[in-house]
Amino acid sequence: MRDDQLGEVTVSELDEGRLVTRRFPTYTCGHCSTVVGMRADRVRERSRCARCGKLLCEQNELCRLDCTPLHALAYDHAFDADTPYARLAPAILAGCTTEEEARRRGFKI
Amino acid sequence: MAKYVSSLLGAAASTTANSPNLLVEAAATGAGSVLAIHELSLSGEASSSTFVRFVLNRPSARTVGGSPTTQVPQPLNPGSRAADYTVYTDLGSSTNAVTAGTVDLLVPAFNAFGGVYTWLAAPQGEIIIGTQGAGIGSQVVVLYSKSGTPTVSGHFIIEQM
Repeated sequence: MRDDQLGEVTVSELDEGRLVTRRFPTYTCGHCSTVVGMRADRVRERSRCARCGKLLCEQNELCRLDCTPLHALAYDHAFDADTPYARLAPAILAGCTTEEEARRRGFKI
Repeated sequence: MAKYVSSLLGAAASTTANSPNLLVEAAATGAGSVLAIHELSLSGEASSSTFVRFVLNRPSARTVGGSPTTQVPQPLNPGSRAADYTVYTDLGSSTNAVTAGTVDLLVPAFNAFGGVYTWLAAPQGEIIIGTQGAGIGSQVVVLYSKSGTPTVSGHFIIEQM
């Protein structure tokens, strides 16, 4: 991921009377939209989808199940399309995080 | 597509998902059924050091009943048409129910004593909302506090895709 594809969090806070501003990069999970702050000292490699190439969060089981290119589906208004890529989109967008939860709530995954 | 701003003006941070500070609901179908959050900014107005940890959450269930307070999203371009989605600033009635999901999409945490938190999405890094109805689940995100109840102000910039 190039730097210009990273989001940014800026936090300005008072510290002993002085305004201190900290900035750190973020990325958005390509499958579920969770925003992840990037620590500079992390050495473990981040998860990336082998199909769409997007960085993934490490919180949602459904993100690792299959490729769900959420932005591409959003641009095409295709969350309910009959395509393997949209298979998990309804469950992810309804807040499901595990396969079991998605099945329990009636999503076909 | 058109972008809109929704704001939070001097509101006490709410610590229950059932009564969030802001609830954004995509339209069930058609225009406004797919939204992208581009920016979120929150500023603290506490008069002494007060930590606050907000979360932007995709609920696992929600019902909006009673008479909730809505806020009309304001277009960034005055020529844009009115937004087709809905923003609630106060769900009010006890008939409303939001069950927070397990994963928070964004966790704005800062000292509300003059602190400012801003998140800017990268292109194609926006937070997507919407399920285009068809009975396939909720289509909302909620902003509420998981810790701290100071007064805060802020805004969302949302694109109607």
